[in-house]
Amino acid sequence: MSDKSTRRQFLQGCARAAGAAAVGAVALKLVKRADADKVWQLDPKLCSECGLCATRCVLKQSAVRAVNNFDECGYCRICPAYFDTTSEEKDDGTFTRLVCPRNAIRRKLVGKADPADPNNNYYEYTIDETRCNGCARCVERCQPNAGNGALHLQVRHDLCRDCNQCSIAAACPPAAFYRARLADAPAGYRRRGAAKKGAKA
Amino acid sequence: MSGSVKAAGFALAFVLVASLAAVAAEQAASTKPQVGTTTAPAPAEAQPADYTSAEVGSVTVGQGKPSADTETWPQFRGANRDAIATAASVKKIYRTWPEGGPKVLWSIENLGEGYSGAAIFGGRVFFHDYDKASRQWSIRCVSLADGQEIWRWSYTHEININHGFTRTVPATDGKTVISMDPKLVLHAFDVASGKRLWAIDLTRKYGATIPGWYNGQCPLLEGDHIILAVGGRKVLMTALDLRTGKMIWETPNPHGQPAPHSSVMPFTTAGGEKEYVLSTLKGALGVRASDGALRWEALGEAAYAQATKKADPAEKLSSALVSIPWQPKVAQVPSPLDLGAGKLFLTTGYKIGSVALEIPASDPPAPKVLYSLAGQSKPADDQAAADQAGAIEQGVFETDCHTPLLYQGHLYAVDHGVDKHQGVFACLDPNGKILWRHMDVPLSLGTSLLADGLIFLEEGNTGNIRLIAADPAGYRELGLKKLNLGNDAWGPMAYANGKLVVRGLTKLVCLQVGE
Ligand code: SF4
Ligand code: SF4
Ligand code: SF4
Repeated sequence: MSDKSTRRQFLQGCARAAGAAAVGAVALKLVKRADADKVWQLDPKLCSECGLCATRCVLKQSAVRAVNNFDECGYCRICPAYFDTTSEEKDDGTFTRLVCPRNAIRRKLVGKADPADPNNNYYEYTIDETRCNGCARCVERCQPNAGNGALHLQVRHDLCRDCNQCSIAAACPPAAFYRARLADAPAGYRRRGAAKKGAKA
Repeated sequence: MSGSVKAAGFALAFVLVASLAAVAAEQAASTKPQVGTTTAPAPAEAQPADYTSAEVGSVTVGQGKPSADTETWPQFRGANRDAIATAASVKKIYRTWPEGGPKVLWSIENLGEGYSGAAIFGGRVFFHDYDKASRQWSIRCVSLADGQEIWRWSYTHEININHGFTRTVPATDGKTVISMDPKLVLHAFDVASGKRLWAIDLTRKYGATIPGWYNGQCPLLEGDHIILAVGGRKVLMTALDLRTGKMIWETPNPHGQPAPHSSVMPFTTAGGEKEYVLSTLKGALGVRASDGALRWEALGEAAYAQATKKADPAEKLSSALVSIPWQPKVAQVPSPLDLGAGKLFLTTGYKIGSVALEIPASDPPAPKVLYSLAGQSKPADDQAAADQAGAIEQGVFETDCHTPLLYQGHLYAVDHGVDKHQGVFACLDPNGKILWRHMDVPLSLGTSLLADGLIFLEEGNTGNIRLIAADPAGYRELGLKKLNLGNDAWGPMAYANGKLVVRGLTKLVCLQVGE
């Protein structure tokens, strides 16, 4: 599903670019780059959740967003990427503060609650991308072993301006950004327990 | 900040969060598709009427025969609950491994996802399983010789897959085997036939609440007694008769200690009093072994404040109540570790860290804090300075899942406090000084077992086994067996007669590690 949606977003981006080309074909020709068929990608396996994605993008709200890989998510009631587990605990075992500074994570009970076992109901966590700015705080908290590494960052290609030199890429400490054709790019979602050697900030 | 100002601050924060949430809910419709299937697993259905009735469950008998092996691993962490094998055969463990490692004697595949490790007695191996399709939870008894099934007792039990279906290790004296299932039902079975003898539903009998991610407590077997933390409305801990399930003693629960993820451990105070100790989401506590009297509670700051706020000033506790700078959050999984000489080591994950207590000879024994270790690395700058000096980062140690090993005065454990909580093997002296950390092998929630100065170290990401010399001078690897069991190989191991039984998420493997 993700591949389809990102491809769709890519094609939409291409359509917009084609419109621009009709208006200023000459100008476009001048700036046409050697790898025009490629886009900026980031490899979640290398990302060290440094936070620069939120502040270094040329866009006011970064083109980078957090994404939940549902295949990896544990649907836990106490999600350490949702609840700030260092804050004060409430009587029901949840916490008073949330991790996301932009309140961009939605938490929804899945199915019906089991009153005999309130601690083991499932909750689905989705990112409200209108709010997320890719600050990576939730991604950091979702890291194994507290989380499953389901949350990760991705460049949203319908938002990304495809700058000649991505200014996040230039700043990214572990050099997690690279150029790739969308269709060829590996999903790169961080797997549980995957070693992140050499990825220290 | 005073209590009331703080409370007002939180109330304001709630109002803000609530109003932000309302705005956001309207905008949620514009959320883009995320990755993977958006269909969450099916939630549990309503619970059956009574899990303990005699009509519940059935035994199926297989072709397996117990092996002739006589050594035992009767419960979680073995006979002495220390994860150390001491039987005669440890002298015949292979100290050098051939290329490719020791041979796999047998394996059982396609288990329901889980972490239930093995108990071994009389050539039989006991562990828990879950069948997703039929929603059957089971205890299985297989032969140590070849893994063939001897019997299996199963019953319908609705369990959500919540980081695996099964947990915990059965406990047995060779006649009766006991099991705690994920939803706090304690079962006793006849070892020879697999027939269920009796059962207690802790939620019904004691009003205990099933912990998040289900029960992780492995019952402690001491002679004919089962020692169990129930975390009920009135009862904190109980001793039960192994054959009948009848109550021997009960410990009151004045401060509402919850049902734990960790297990009760035997301990001796500085005064030589035998106790049963436990760590919970509130802190730790000790109970006198002879009669179950609550002797002390060492509560984290928040739990202590709650306990003392609610206390009736006229009420006189006969136990000691102290505040310590250690309160687990989310889940408390490792069990307390007896360091000897009345000292107790407590550790937990989620950036909480560790603390060592002394339980003195006084009556009641009021615990004293000996030292604390932080749950996560220092800020990057300090760390860089430490790295430059070539120093080992001190003052940091926590382990998320498995209780450390104590061998010849040193602790060996997977440390999750450093390197982004990946889990690295470490050695500590009894004063909390880190002697070494081996940073090259990420271990996730890996586990370890010690035998005759050798450590079998299981990588939690892969189930691969590394043979290590237990040496405070440094990490010394003697062999590697690639089992490739995949993610979440987190169940504890068991050893008897040169055979190491290893639990992967969906597999049980028996390795021939000695004669
Ligand atoms: S700049 Fe690089 S390391 Fe930092 S959050 Fe972005 S991708 Fe991750
Ligand atoms: S990346 Fe930052 S803004 Fe986005 S959901 Fe996570 S915590 Fe919130
Ligand atoms: S290429 Fe430009 S718009 Fe896209 S992520 Fe990088 S800085 Fe932001």
